[in-house]
Amino acid sequence: MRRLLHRLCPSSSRWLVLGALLLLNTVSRLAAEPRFPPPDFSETNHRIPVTTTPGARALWLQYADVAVLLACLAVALWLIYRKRSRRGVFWLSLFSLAYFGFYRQGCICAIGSPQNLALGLFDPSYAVPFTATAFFVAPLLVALFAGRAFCAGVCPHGAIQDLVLVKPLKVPLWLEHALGLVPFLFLGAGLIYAATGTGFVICRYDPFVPLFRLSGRFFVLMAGGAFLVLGMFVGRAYCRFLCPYGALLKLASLFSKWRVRVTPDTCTQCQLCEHSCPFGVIREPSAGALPPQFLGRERRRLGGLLLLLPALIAGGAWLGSKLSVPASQLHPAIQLAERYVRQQKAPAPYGVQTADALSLQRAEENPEAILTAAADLRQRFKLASALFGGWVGLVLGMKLISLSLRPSRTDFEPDRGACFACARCFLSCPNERVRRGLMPASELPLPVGGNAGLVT
Amino acid sequence: MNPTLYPRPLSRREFAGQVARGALLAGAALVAGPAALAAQSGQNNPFAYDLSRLSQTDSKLVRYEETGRFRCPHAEPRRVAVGPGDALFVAAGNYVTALGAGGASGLEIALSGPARCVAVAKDGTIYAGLRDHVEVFDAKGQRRAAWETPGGKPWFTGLAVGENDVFAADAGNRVLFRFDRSGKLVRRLGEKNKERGVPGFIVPSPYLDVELGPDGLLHVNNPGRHRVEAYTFDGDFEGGWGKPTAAIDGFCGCCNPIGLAVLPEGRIVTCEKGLPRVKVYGAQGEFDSVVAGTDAFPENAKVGAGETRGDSTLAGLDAAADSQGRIYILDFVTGDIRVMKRKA
Repeated sequence: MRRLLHRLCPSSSRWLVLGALLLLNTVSRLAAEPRFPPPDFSETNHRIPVTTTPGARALWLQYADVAVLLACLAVALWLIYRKRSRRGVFWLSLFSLAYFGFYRQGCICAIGSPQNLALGLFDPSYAVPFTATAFFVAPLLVALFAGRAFCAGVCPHGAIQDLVLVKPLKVPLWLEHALGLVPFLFLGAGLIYAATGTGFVICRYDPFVPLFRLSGRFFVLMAGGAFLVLGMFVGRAYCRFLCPYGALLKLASLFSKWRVRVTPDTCTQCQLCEHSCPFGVIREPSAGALPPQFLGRERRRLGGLLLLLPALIAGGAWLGSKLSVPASQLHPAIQLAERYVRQQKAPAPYGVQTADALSLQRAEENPEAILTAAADLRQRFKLASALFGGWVGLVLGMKLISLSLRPSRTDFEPDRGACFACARCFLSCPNERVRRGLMPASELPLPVGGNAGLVT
Repeated sequence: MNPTLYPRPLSRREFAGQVARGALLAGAALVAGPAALAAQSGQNNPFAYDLSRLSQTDSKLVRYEETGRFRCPHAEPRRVAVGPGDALFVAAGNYVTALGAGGASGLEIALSGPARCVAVAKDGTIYAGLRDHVEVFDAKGQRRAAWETPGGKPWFTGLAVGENDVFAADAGNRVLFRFDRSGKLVRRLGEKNKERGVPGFIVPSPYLDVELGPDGLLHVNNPGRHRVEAYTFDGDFEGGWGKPTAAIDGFCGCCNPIGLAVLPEGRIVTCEKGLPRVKVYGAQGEFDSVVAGTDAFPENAKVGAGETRGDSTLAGLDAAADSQGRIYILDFVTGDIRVMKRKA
């Protein structure tokens, strides 16, 4: 200390600095208010619990999480595309369930990461954690190039559902398509509520995180249990019908450079793979090109739908803006302001001490601040609800358009967007079995033409 | 050619129809679900920490009536005491103030820090307790002495004065100091001592009070044990009474009673916080009556329950009794002093 002072100050001012430091120390001690000593519990041997605040995860451990994610993604790609090994993918998913699920307790998690980015975009005071960005970007990038490898072996939510799958049933096609829209809507809602600072609803209502933590709200724990029971008969129900990050991966996978192929060789169109997929994503070969006399009508339909799309978006936006008030009631500041207004209109008698009652008491001390904040939030929700309504219109419109399209397929192939790349179908393919030496090539069924699935 | 020869896996029309039906069903469930939840939430929560039942006092037990009320002249009132001629003295803020009939301010003494307690001798000498020491003033308010600070972590919260002694209740050190009138420490009382059968004070919050009774004993509250205890001037433990219960005849919460007063005939007045109430017990601890129940102190009860931003640890009551048996109740939250008289 003296050496430092010697360097920093010439000898004449050194004493001044020392004096100032001593004075500062004395003043701070005098200003400190003495506190009443804590109770003595020596008779009962009670120990006063020390208040602890969980520290932030060490930075190197956060980097380690990202490294584990990247490594798992790399191993998943190698297992799916190189080894074509279901067993390998299964063991990888078990590791992911143990690490990202039970060890990291579902946090950090790619599923909730879009909310971090949304909040970071709209709230300048929120710094998006590096890990959240990495968990958002890495699986999406992989999906853009090679499909949903993340879902296959890295996501703990998918892994826990795969573990309980006993007897997969086929979901009616209309229901599959209808429920398949829900992840997109949930994603929109999650982003809107994150951007407005309401909360991370995707995380709040995540059914599996409470199971990983072995604690949580009763309703969400029950939902997790229900999803596991449902998952015994409906493969990956959460991933297919609720997961908002899955919706993003689905979109990215539609444009992926590489895709999962059932057969390593030519498709014999034996349909064995179709029965092996518990998620019903193996698509049969298409009927080929439409005869020319139908083309005009189909094009007119498509054109009509494309014209309808802006109307659906506008209608959704209008409806959304009309529903902004109920939508905003999830925000705690608006809930508090509404309780305050209700209390002013009809004062309730002094009653049970609850968290709500306490916050209300505090609101009564500065109602202006609460009401102003709520009014500002209402304005933000008007725009946010309109955006969400427009998003709903877009999702519906795109669904109708997608139903009007006729994808061209010559073989039995997994649906690019819906396939979880779980590698279950590989071994069902006779060509794969021959490749692995599990059956002689002479037993291969004869390949049929590309239009084998055409109903004529 | 029939267009159905080229079927899609799912047509737009089929999709739209089925989705509409499903949406209707889901909509009905969405309406019915929250309605059922709302109906359920309207029911009483059996696990709620509901003290409202205890805040009501049986009117038959209330044997005192309010005959007057006036404001304490300063904020942050802590203790009230009765001096010669039944003059009232209040320790509030950085002052000790003498109040005349009807609450008119008389003598006012400025202290060097916040006043925590006050006692007045028969000769008019005023003893003011600050956090860590006692200051002495004559009857005209002239400062005569400031006593030495005892060691440890002193936190004076109660004073009583006899012919030759001054007793200071130190909540921080959990001890009762006996000084002579010149400020010399004579003895430490009330500290745990198995040989002498002294149980020791348990004081979770800064409320330890001492009063001198007509029986020649010191009456001290032991809030952590929910008792009032009696000691001789030499520190012999003479006994104690009180039971921990939320019922009206006992003391509830972590630490009660917090303040005492002694009526001329020896009955003891107790003050409680949390559920703020003032009661009278016989000299042997038998429950006598309620002076004012929790329902008489709604603001105090709210602060004490932590329902406001006010410091709930400072919500409480104190009392003093004059020679005519009137009880003066000081409300720390509202700053009111109520004059209570026994009903005829």
